[in-house]
Amino acid sequence: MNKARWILVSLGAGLILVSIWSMSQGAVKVSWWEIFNILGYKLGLNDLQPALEKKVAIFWLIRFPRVLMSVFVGMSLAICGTAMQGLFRNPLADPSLIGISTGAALAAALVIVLGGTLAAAWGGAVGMYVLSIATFTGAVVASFLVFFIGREKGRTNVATMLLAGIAINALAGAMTGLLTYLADDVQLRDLTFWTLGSLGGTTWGKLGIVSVASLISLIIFLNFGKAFNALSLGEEEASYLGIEVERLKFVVVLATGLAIGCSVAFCGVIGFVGLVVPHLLRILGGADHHYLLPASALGGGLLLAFADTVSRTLLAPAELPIGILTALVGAPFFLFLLYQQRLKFE
Amino acid sequence: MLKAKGLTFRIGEKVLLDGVSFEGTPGKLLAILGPNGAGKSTLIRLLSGALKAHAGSITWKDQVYPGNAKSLLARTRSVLTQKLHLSHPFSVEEVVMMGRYPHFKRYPQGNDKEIVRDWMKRTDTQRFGKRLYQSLSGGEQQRVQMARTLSQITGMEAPCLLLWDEPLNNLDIRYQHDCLGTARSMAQAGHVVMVVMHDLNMAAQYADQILLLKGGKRLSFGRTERVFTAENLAQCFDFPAYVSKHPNLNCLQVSFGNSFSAHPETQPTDDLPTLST
Repeated sequence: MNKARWILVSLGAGLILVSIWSMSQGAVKVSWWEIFNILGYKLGLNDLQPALEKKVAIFWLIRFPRVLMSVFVGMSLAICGTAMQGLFRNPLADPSLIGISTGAALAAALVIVLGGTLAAAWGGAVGMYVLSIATFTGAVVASFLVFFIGREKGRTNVATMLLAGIAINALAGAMTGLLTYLADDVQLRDLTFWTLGSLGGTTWGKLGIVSVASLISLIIFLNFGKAFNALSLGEEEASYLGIEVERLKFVVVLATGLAIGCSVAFCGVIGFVGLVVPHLLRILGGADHHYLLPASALGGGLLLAFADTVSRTLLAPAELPIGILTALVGAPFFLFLLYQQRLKFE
Repeated sequence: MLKAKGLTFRIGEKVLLDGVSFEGTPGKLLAILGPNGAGKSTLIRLLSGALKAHAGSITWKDQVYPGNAKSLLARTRSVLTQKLHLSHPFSVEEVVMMGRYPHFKRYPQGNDKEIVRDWMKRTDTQRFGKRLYQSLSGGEQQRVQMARTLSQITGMEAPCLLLWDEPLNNLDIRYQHDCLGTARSMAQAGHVVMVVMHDLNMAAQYADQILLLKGGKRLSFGRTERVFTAENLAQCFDFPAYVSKHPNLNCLQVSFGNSFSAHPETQPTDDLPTLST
């Protein structure tokens, strides 16, 4: 077995272990045996231990979907980061840095504040779909903007790309600020939730939408291993190797919009996961996207499951918004990357 | 086999190529030569389909080129471009294997690995196969890219099309000769091989045909001995040229110079300074 496979297997095992650990942590502690007992009961494999009857509701309706949500959102963020970095041919592209996540969050804010009355009329379930469609659109529009502004003669101008990201972030920030000003108290709470990012409030319904979006983009990206590798030679060179570059760009932007849009719709903006995870995995096992794409998905899920557990247990009973946590760790890491790149080009 | 007729390409008002016609023939190594800004790289990019000509036509095997059979073209045509920049840290082996991408779906097969290993040996790059591409010197990177483009068309029925834009960049003498030797053996295997280069004497030694460009226009095209005349070269490079038979090899030899370049006061003399022992 080669190194890349070892890393993938370890990440897979780590993801499962961390998920179970995460399910056991919280205000109500649930032991591993109790977790297996409840899961077995839900699958119809065994009877529920009578002592667990009180814990079942908490576990099944709140904690279990929340942990799965963190795994799927982490997968989406990390694999979309890898895909964006492959497409832009630059390791600094991250959905939150270049404005894709904030574009989606702005769309969410617009729906909450301006479409609030409409959503109320439609009821909760329909509102949920309207919200995901809006964030999807916001994410796709932002990616297209950054992509076309940041391109120059078939190459990404990194400075322009990051500046376009800053501009979109600033614009979305200002408009979200304006909406905050207009919002009533309930809407204000919702808006804060979106800008800071949180996995609290996860329901099975929301998990359903996010997991489907995440899996669709995962399946699409896992087939692009060769294409992303070839693209690292340059767009022209990739086309000489039979890669249909224009089609690839289009599909990547749409799939990213879908995965990022849906995760922002229900969990808000969680930054830097798409930057940190692929970077570390490249150092560990190389840049081959046949390895990097699945490894990012597993690693992203693992990291976010862990981070979410920390965010809800560190200041218990209060909760630290996970977006703040990832930014606290991720932003210094980003500065470190910039510093490293500066050294390389000198 | 590869026929170009009246190729014209402009950027705005500036005409980069103006009605260039020529033909690449299987079995013949064609060198494309000319001074800076003659349109050599533009021509290669037209021939590779990266740019579209404003006028004129290209046909390959009597079909409109590049055509719609893109996946077949990716297996029978390879292009080496200048100033390749790899955006992520791949190993040398992985870069060469990219040349085989048009031939397998997801994972390389046995013969893909064999072809890659073989070309890495022949370009003397197998020694650092596991190293990161970015850690190599410019000349080593150039050889890796050569191995990649050669792997791409290996195993396909001749004639394939091989386009190399300045492959000699950064190579030292030995590898320059290896490179053009390989290009010639590819031509002799029945492929159409076109190489943009600057070194006229290397072209004189290896090329069967020459396309001489100047200011976007074709100055001369044909067999090396016909194109390499003192008049043609002097006109092309705006400098007095001398063409003679190579004293040791069966080819022509080119030199440039005028009275200022030849140290007028140091006449050849017998009394060379002697070393005291």
